[in-house]
Amino acid sequence: CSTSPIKDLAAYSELGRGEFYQLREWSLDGRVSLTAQHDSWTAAIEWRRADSEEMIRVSGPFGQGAVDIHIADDYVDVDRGGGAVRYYDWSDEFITEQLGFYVPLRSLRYWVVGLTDPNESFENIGNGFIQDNWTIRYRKMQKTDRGLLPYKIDVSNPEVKLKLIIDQWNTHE
Amino acid sequence: DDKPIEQLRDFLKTAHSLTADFRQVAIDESGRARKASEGVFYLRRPGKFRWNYLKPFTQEIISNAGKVWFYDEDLEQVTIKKMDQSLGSTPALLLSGDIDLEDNFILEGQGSDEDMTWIKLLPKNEDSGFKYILIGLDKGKLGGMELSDNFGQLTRIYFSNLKINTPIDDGVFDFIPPAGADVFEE
Repeated sequence: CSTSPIKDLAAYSELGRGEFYQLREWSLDGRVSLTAQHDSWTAAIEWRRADSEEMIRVSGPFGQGAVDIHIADDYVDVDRGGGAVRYYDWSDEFITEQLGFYVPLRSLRYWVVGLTDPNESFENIGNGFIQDNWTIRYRKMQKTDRGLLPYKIDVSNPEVKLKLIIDQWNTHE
Repeated sequence: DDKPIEQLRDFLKTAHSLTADFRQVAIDESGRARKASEGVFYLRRPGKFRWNYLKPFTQEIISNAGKVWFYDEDLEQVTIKKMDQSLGSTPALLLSGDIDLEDNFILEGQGSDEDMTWIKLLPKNEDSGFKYILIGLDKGKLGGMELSDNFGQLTRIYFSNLKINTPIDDGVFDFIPPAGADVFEE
């Protein structure tokens, strides 16, 4: 397991990123802001991926308003501290209700690692790509033991803008 | 044991302004210290405060004129919300005396720990986002706070270099979004 403080930042390049599709386990610790017409919030985010499942925790200042989202292949658990509630036929719109914003989490789990979603076509735009009407830009990358991983990402479409800073990567193996 | 609660009331009554360094530690459900941050806290009654996070990154939470500004330098994001809509306003509001303690909390003296006398505040309003808040007094003055979120994660804040009732420049509570930052106002 390696952790990587920000040393020097570099530019995104899609070359040689294929190997990260094999990266089965990773976790990140950072900050996210989500803005749409009706609302905006900024939160701390912890994201752990293991055995093709995602554990995401977002929390506000002083840990206030913390929410856990656990995405497995066929269900999603949402826990606001009072115990997890399980939803089976979940859709991305469902996540909208939980977060208050529509965010394509199934694609985001590839985007955060600097990869395109293998299930969608994409158009390369130099420091990122366009996929499914979302524009993903890697503003800054950072060196880790596993190579270049994102430090600052913008993900936007005409309605929503998500900005993510990854303060720490743990790439388990 | 009402003495600590009395001390807290006296402190809140007499402290019209306050400046302090703070160190904040997030402790997870299994008791492990996870994230630490530090900065300067400013408070001026009624209703003005500023958490100026300096390490490990720059963030600001500023309250003024019934609004709260949240700024993150790396994210280049400013979010402006009404006070009551803003996550994270509760702890400072407690100290700013804008909230009547007895109306909003059940108060319990907790005895001493880490050289401080602690008072527990249990929110009467279920969805305040906190299970409880502890305020620690060091010889009758603000020394620490502890907030337990719904998952049992703790946020502990330790205050030092307290300056009470010394003048604080108005500009401290005026936030001007830096050029290039995205600004969202409710």
